[in-house]
Amino acid sequence: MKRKMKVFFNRGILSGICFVIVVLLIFVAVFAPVLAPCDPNVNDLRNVVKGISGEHLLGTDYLGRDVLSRILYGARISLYTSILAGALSAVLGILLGLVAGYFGGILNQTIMRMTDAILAIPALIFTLVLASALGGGVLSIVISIGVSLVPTYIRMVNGQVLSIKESDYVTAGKLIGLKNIRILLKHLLPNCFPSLIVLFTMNLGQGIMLEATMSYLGVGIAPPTATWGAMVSDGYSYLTTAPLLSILPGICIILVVVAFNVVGDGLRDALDPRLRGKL
Amino acid sequence: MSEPNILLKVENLKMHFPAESTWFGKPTRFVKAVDGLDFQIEAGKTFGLVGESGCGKTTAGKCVLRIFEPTEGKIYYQGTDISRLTDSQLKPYRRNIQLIFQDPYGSLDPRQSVGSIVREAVLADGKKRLDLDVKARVEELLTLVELDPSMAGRYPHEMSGGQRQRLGIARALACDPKLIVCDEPVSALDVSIQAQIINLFESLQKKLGLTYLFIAHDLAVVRHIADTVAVMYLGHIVEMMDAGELYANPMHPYTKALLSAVPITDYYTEQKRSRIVLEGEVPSPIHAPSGCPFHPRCQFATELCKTQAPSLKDQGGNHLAACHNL
Ligand SMILES: Nc1ncnc2c1ncn2[C@@H]1O[C@H](COP(=O)(O)OP(=O)(O)O)[C@@H](O)[C@H]1O
Ligand code: SF4
Ligand SMILES: [Mg+2]
Repeated sequence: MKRKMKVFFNRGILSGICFVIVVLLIFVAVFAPVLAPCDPNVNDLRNVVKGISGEHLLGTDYLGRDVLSRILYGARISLYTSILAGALSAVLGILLGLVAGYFGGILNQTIMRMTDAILAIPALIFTLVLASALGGGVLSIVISIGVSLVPTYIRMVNGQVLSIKESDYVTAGKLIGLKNIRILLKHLLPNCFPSLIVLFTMNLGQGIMLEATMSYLGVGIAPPTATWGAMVSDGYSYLTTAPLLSILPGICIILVVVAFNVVGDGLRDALDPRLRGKL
Repeated sequence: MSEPNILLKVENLKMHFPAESTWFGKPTRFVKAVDGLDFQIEAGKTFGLVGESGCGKTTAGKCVLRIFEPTEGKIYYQGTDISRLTDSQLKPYRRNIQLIFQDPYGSLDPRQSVGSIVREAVLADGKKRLDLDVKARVEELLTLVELDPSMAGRYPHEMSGGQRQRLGIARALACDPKLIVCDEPVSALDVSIQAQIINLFESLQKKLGLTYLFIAHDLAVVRHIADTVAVMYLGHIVEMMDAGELYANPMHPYTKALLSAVPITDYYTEQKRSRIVLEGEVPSPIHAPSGCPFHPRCQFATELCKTQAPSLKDQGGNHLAACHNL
């Protein structure tokens, strides 16, 4: 464990910053109710689009709601939806990818052709259509983002399994008499793990992006719930007078998406026993 | 006296891989990687299989291990033909025949520790054991291949090439095998380590009564370890003899050519010997030549050689060779 941490933190300052951002996001998401100075959904129509002040540290939006509180609560929604969607897609995708890759044949053909079909549709369009078909709300957002990310896992796991199952150590496993299920779970899955971790963290970023985009377009989570996407969208009309209204949640989205990508890379190295102890 | 105890007998073994196919997936051409092998191995002995890279040695080994189902032919293991058995029928034989790989690193799961690799092989037969017994068995196996049991916590990338190959051997031995297919087990190792591993194979054979199908492209290695040697060329055995005869009395032009590529340390013998230099490339097994497979490169080839394949004939004293000009 110590060595894993060492590899992770030896990747330079950028890695460190991104790690802090992710930790901060999780902290904020968990403790939003404690940290937020105001209720994020209480309107104050006498104080709309106010700039930075002592009472409202980051100002107020067009309904007079506290921007800081809404950003903190928005972190919660972002993380919550993308983790749920990520878990859903990972479980489905890994399962299908493993089975398709290892057993091959007609099963593989069917799963991979369906994957290609979904991947041919842009993720955003697919998610939008699915979300509106499911009728909005957090659950439908989670399901539609989750399903749209499943093919990325299938592709990756399938490719990895196809190459690893030809490796000598899998041959050796068959020769010593291991059962298929053990080869799948003990040899193939763990060796896909580094790439999966990267994909999972990157998909968390992608999930946040998709959720924000859908909320921005108004298909996502219904108002008045605070989400970063909706905040960017709401602030759009005040871009010249109060640019912070859109820019602040926008920066949050970008920072978090980038941070997840960088942290994913770091985790991959830390989880690779070949790199441990090298640095 | 009793018949020699034949552990493995291979008859007319053929493995043809589809190379080209029509649009509908019906193969039209085949890579004849192995094209009719006959040999047998006596229990407790070492059978050496030599030949240039690509001549089908690994494929033959993988058929014996039933990683491949051969296109044609029979493989008798202790008298039972295993060539057509299904996976479930193979179960009782699986652990009896093991493989030592050419690339020791690739044969080890990079995420598994030394101890876990051996333990997994011990436990894979599904029998119930006490944890204590398993631990003792793992230590015993590591000691047997001359690895320090304290290495159990290490990972393959932390080991040297020789240590990795020892680990591969320990994993194979965990299955209590009778026959071990060694597929060029030392060719990826440093020359200084090769001798140690060869010695390990020999001492294990003495201790455990193992039988080896020993594949190599290095004649010196094979002559040292094998009791019987078969020389392969393009999927065929062209000569088969006792190991001592290999250097003393090679008959087939291909064997002679292989031998002249081996340096002789004695200067005067080296000066006196006639060298046969192999010309040209090994033809691809997709476009196998007609007649004798060696004829395009053979300096003694006649018209007959181009049309008719010579069969493996007894030349006296257990020495078989396939050549028209003997
Ligand atoms: N799975 C396979 N599919 C198609 N061709 C193969 C396969 N395995 C081996 N071959 C071909 O069979 C021939 C013999 O290969 P191999 O048995 O690996 O030779 P060797 O071990 O003597 O170097 C080669 O031409 C190789 O390309
Ligand atoms: S049969 Fe003919 S071509 Fe083949 S090895 Fe003998 S002499 Fe050469
Ligand atoms: Mg080979």
